[in-house]
Amino acid sequence: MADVFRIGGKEFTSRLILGTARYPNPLVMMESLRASGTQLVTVAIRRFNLKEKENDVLDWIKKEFALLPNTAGCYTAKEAIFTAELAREALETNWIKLEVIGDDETLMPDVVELLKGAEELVRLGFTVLPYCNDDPITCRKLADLGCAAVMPLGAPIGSGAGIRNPFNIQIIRELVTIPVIIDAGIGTASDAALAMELGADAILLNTAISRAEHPVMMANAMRHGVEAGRLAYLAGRIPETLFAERSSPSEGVVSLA
Amino acid sequence: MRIILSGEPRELESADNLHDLLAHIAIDPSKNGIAIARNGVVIPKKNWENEPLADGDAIEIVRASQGG
Repeated sequence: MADVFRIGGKEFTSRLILGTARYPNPLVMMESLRASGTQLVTVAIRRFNLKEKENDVLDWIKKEFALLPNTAGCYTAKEAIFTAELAREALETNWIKLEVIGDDETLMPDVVELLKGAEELVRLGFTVLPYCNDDPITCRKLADLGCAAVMPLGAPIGSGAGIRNPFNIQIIRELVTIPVIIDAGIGTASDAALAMELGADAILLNTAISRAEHPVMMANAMRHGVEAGRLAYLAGRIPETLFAERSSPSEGVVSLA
Repeated sequence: MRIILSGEPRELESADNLHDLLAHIAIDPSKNGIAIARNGVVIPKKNWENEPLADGDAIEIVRASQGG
């Protein structure tokens, strides 16, 4: 049976969503996206450059991957809604990665503004994927508002610090029925695998690949990390015990006496 | 006419609507992937020719770019 990732009425075979920023150059970015197996990538909405010719990178991306615009850089619900409306008009998609941050140092979500923005965007017909704290109650509220997924952070954006609170991720998994996507904090393939083992439906990452020494190789590693973690989750891991449990049979052990 | 274009003041000789404005600043209006807002309100592409431009308007022209 195919393990399909369903979200917002769409189906994906890959459970890895990638950002498109901070790569050494566009060619490495395209090779990395391909190596990761991703089918959905995030983009930002920015002012059209009126002074120089715009590059064609977005045209390349659009040919091969579905786009998930974000509201990066927004500090209020009002700014995020405006950005989402611009994104919908520019890219002809209702999908939005809702990002409303509280400050520049932590880049952590401003929960009050995030909830306000999510409520309004759902009302306006958007498919809302909110970047949020790893807080079960916030996630439940976002789900109740009608978001298509919740996207709790593993650790601060770009930190590569992994999954700082695995217990919260497990609680979130139990509390909501919509997809849980770990967004931010992933540093290496084992972080992605752990997140998937905890029950995440997908991973969204950027810096861990784009700033790796060899981005294309890391993209391949992330693909395997996500797949391995997903399989392990579905397979059902053994319970942890304090003491050892022998694996070889104790009967028939040879004796010197 | 003086407008604020993407945050910067700009003098225009004549531009009656958003479509004119694009021509004025050498952006092909048929180009995909851009969106325009006038005074904080997103104007759908099909209305660009009818959306008037007035002195003091704040216009934002955006497109998608690489992001995380």
